[in-house]
Amino acid sequence: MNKLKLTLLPALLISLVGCSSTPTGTEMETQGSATVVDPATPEYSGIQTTSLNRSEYLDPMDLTQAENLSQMTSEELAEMEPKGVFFPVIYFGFDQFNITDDSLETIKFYAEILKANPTKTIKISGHTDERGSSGYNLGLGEKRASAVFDAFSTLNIAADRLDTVSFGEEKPALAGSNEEAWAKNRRVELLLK
Amino acid sequence: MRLKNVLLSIAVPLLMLMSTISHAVLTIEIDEGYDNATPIAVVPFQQPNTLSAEQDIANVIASNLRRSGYFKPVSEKKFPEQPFEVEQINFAKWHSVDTDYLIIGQVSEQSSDRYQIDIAFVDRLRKKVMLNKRWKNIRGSQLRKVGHIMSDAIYQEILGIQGAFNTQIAYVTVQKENKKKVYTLEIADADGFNSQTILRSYEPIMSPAWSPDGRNLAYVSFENGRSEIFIQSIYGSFRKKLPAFKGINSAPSWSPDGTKLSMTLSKGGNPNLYIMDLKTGKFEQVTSDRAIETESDWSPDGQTLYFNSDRRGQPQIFAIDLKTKQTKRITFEGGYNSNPDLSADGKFMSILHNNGSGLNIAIYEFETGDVYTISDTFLDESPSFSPNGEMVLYAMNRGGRGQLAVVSKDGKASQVLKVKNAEVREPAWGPYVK
Repeated sequence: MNKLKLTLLPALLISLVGCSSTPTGTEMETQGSATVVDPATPEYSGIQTTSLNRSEYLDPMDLTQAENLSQMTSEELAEMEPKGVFFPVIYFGFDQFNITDDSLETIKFYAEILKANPTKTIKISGHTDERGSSGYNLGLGEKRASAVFDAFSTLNIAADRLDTVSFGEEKPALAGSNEEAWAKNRRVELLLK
Repeated sequence: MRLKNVLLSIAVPLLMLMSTISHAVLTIEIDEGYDNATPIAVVPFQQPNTLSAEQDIANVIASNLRRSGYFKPVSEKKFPEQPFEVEQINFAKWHSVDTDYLIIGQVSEQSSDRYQIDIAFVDRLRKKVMLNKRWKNIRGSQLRKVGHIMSDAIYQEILGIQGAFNTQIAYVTVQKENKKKVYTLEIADADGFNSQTILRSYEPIMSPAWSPDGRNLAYVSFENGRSEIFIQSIYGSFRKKLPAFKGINSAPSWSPDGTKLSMTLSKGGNPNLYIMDLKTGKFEQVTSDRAIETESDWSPDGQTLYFNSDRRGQPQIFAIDLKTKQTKRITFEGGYNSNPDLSADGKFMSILHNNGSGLNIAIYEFETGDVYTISDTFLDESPSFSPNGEMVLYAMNRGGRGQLAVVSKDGKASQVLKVKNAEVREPAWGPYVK
């Protein structure tokens, strides 16, 4: 039963993955995107960076497992009624990196998905708001990503399926220098791959 | 008592001029100057009318002196005469002008794009020529540099402190091109002119740090999806990625002798300080705390690293003796102290500081342990001392976008540097270059 239940989750997640393709999500992809400019060349014409390929990046989940749905009884399907689908973002207080109980529910949700989909990995990206020094914030983003990594580990997700990265204050989800934007920017983004 | 925006009207014609040169140029607005700034008469030079306004050395010198906050160039309209040689000065005529000093000069074209420049700095009261300098065979593109060198000499003559006009700054710009963020790493003269892009990327660029000889920048680039440290030459095309480890690779800082780089790595699980020997490539772990330990800067003798750590809960500045490995806490005042940058003489440290009214730039004085806030702008960060320790360059937010500001060490004079249509951040003031 539990196994069947989990097979549906990927289908539910498709929309979530779609949601994560906000500007911050797509910017994560990088392949040789920097260009060195020789100051001796006075005129630098245009950008020589490679363009991002959105479809490659999103790597949609395997839908074939959704076929299992037909094997479920109506009773089982009723039980499948999602009690809560968790948006793949975990928020933090100012200068904090502790995982709250609510955050742990989000992490558990994705841990179950990982358990149900052994080939999937998850990218854990730590971010901060713009306040404070950027070097410290890069460290703080790392602490946030590590805290989520540790939570996945205690839920028995193998370390090689967890990829952490910190962007510090460099990639805000929401522009603006106010409490609303700051609260949205103090976060860890989860991305299934 | 601050003369907010009083000098702005003088700067406006210059700004309009600058904006026509290039859209990427940094423009400077003077925010505040000293009430008692010294009046100084910079007489327009005699020069070929083929020179552009940008090549006007008298203008370069006047702007530099004004930006320092210590000087107030006298309006040209008040000049009784326009001498360009010392012998031409009729001192009697200048009695009615409120100025102690005169700067006069001439530029003559020796051959195609080769100029001779003569500049004299005269003490009007004592009727004495303090400086009289000549440059020969100078290219048109180097005329501003002559103005900066002369500004440094005049500054030193009057104040007894080496000027920092003939120096460069590095900074990062962020702008949207086709709805995509583009980051650039730029270098420019200290007055914002001659900006040049040395790196463009779709991914963030952070923490530029000048090598002590001013020839290289170490910085952090996310071009491979995560923070990694690179070293790139200012002149030429040398670029090298340092060994990158799991986690963050960040906050590089050169040792005073240029042989080592301190940095923050989290390969051990927590962000800690490491030192890389640039000759051998060997890494030495310096701190091993569970806290965030980062943004290190070296003491001038290379024996101590100053850094910030939140091992007590919130970031505070600590020092570690590199021989004994003894750590001691430096800052106690304020709930947030980070990003130390030591003055070249090691007597002061500029820091990001919260004294309860927000994040601002402050100076920590080692002798007394005093901390005093010198900036009053919004969302300040990344303080960087001028090489003479007189000014601090930093990043702030005004009108919803990132700009740079320069503030005097006592907080009384300040300017704003901004780039049209772009955010500017992560500034670093370069060293004196021999």
